[in-house]
This record gives sequence, C-alpha cells and structure tokens, in this order.
Amino acid sequence: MDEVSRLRTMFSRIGAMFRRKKLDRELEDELRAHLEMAAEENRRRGMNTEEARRKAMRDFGGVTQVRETVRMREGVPFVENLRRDGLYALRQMRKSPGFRSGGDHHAGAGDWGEHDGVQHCGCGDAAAAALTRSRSGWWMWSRGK
Amino acid sequence: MYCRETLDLMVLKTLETMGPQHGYGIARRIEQISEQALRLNQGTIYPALLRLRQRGWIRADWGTSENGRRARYYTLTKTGKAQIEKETESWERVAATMARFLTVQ
Repeated sequence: MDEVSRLRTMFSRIGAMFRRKKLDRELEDELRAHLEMAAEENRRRGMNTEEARRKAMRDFGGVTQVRETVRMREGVPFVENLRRDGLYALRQMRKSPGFRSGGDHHAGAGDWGEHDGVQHCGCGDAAAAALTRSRSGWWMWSRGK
Repeated sequence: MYCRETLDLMVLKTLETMGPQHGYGIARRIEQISEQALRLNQGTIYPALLRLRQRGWIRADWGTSENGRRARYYTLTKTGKAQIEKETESWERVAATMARFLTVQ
C-alpha cells in the first residue's frame, strides 16, 4: 500500500471509532440484504424457500467471520499500530518524495493483522517490483512477504 | 485460492463495467465472469469492499434495489479508475515477461 493510501486508511479508522454503532447496524442491513437477494434468486430458479435460504447461506460462507473481519478493519487497532504506521508512512515519504512505492508492498510494516480469508500471494506487486529492478534482461524474483 | 489483489482488481473492473452495484451483484458477476473458476465465498467481498473504500477507490451510498429493497451501492471513484489502469498495465507486463520465459529454451 502506498503512503497516501496508508495515511488515508489510518484516518478512516480513527473516524470509525466514533461511529461504531451506526456501522454495525449498516453492516447488518447490508449482509441481510445480500442473503435475501441470494435466496430470492435461488427461489426464482425453482428452489423452495428453505433450500433457497440454505444455499444462500452456503454460498455466502461464514457470516460471523465476515462480520468480525469487517468490524476489525473498520475499528481502531491498538494505538501502537496507528503510531507505527503513521511514522512508517512519514519515514517513507521523507526518504523518497514523490515516490510511488512499487516495491514496498511486501515490506510488512503495519499489515494490521488482516485476516480476511483471502490469500495475499503478492504476485502482482512482487512481480512489478521485480520487473522494475531487473537489469540487462535478467529477471530476478524478489521474494515477497 | 486467489489473491487479495486479484479480487480487488476484479471488483474495481466489475464496477467500471456495470456501473454502481451492490455487494451481492458484484459477487455474482465475479462468479459468472470467472466461470466458477473462483469458488469464492461471497461474503469475502465485504472485507474487500471495505478495503477499497478505505483507499478511496470506491465509495458507498445507500439506495433502493430493483425490488424496492434498501441496499448499499458501490461506485468507482476517479482514483479507482486510475488504479484499474495502473494495475492492468502491471498485469500486462507480468504476462509478457512470463510469456518470454515460457517460450525460451
């Protein structure tokens, strides 16, 4: 993530601290709407109400897991993480002004401990970073995080 | 399994193509386009959508769905559109490089 995104992310999460209840309600509305729309489509395809509902739940995956992941990301992590990320972003900007960090996605600083059930394979950013560092046609893999 | 980055780009691309869409619509579209190659748990779209919102690449507004249901619609922002172009370029470079490697003996 580049510095601007990181700072924007940091401020977004501070604001969320004061909007916890509203966010929870909105998320519930959103997830419920998703499941209802899915069940509806299943009914349109000929399933009875119960089958339609169960398939919708299956296709969605774990609702609790999603709710927890989103709430964690919306919320404020330990103050230390904020500070660390803010300082990291400032350090990076001081080091290389105007630099759009192509190679630092996998630096690993402040990943917020994200668990969203999706692998971070780093193929896009690691490859891009490797390409920008390649010399005389040789392509070196730099191991992403 | 699939990458976080891949899912993000697919979401952005879906919004570019379809215009404003709710999470369910985006997830279904990704399933269809990927021809079920991505057996994604639809729910994983929500952390991705939040991430994209936090980065300013999409924004969310409450609206009314086709059948009068209250739903949250996502729209691509200007920076989101620019991000698509950036990542598309990046993917093309990667693909071209791999192609060279795979044809060299």
